[in-house]
Amino acid sequence: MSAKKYFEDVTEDEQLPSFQQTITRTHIVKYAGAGGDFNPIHHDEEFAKAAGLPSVFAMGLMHGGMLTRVINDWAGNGRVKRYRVRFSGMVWPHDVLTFSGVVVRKYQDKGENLVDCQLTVVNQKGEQNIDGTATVSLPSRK
Amino acid sequence: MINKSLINTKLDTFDFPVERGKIKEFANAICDPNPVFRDREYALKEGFRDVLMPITFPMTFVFQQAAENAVLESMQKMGMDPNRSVHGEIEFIYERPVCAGETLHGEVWIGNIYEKAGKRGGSMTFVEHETKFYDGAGKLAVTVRNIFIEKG
Repeated sequence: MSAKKYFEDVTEDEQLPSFQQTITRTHIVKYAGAGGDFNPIHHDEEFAKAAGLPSVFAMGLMHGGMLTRVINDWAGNGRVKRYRVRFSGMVWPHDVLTFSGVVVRKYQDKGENLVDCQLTVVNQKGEQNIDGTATVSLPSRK
Repeated sequence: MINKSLINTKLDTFDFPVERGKIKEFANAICDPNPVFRDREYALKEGFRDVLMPITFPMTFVFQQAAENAVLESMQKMGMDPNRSVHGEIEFIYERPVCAGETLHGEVWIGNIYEKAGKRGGSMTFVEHETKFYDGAGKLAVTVRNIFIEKG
């Protein structure tokens, strides 16, 4: 595997590349088709309103999937050992989400070079939608 | 009522073919332009056998299950009320990267079921739902661990 990031070059508190996405109903529908979540609460406006919601809302795995780009782009392909997301807030159409991350810890375990990162998705109001963590295994320059 | 007799029981098994076209569709849906999910030549240059499976792609295993809405059916089997239940968190654990062309064998298990007091009073029931993906040689490749929460 080619190396995007070497273990020696990682510093704790290093910011991961971040990006933004404005969420639309089309994103929700594309993810439903790709991911297999056909719960009507995510795509059927009448159903969502009958359930007492203002509109449909995105399934957590949609932006949970979008967030993987932050760790994957930074660490390089095929480096993720663990990826965990906790869903802490709902995402609505027209929300502008910011996907970002930061290095929390670098360490070695059983001969592997590991880096733990904190990942996050926040909306335009600064509310957190996803609280995530990831562990990657990185190559050494040696 | 959540069925606690399901603690540490296997709910389902299925085969999961990892397909190139499906990976590309998924990568588009999560807005990730990375060519490693689309371009086989690029993936080979990166050292993979074929296009790489995105990190959260294993969730598409629901397409391989018999039920129309496999997650809802799992919850119903557990006795969870979908109107009071949320998907709390999900964790993907990788033993190694997985590429298109492999067929993984999946097993769905219920782990522990436990209660915790809610922050605003009442109680919450936590259900651990785990899917293990084994490769053709019988080795574990990926584990997906979910926590579903039913509010009391």
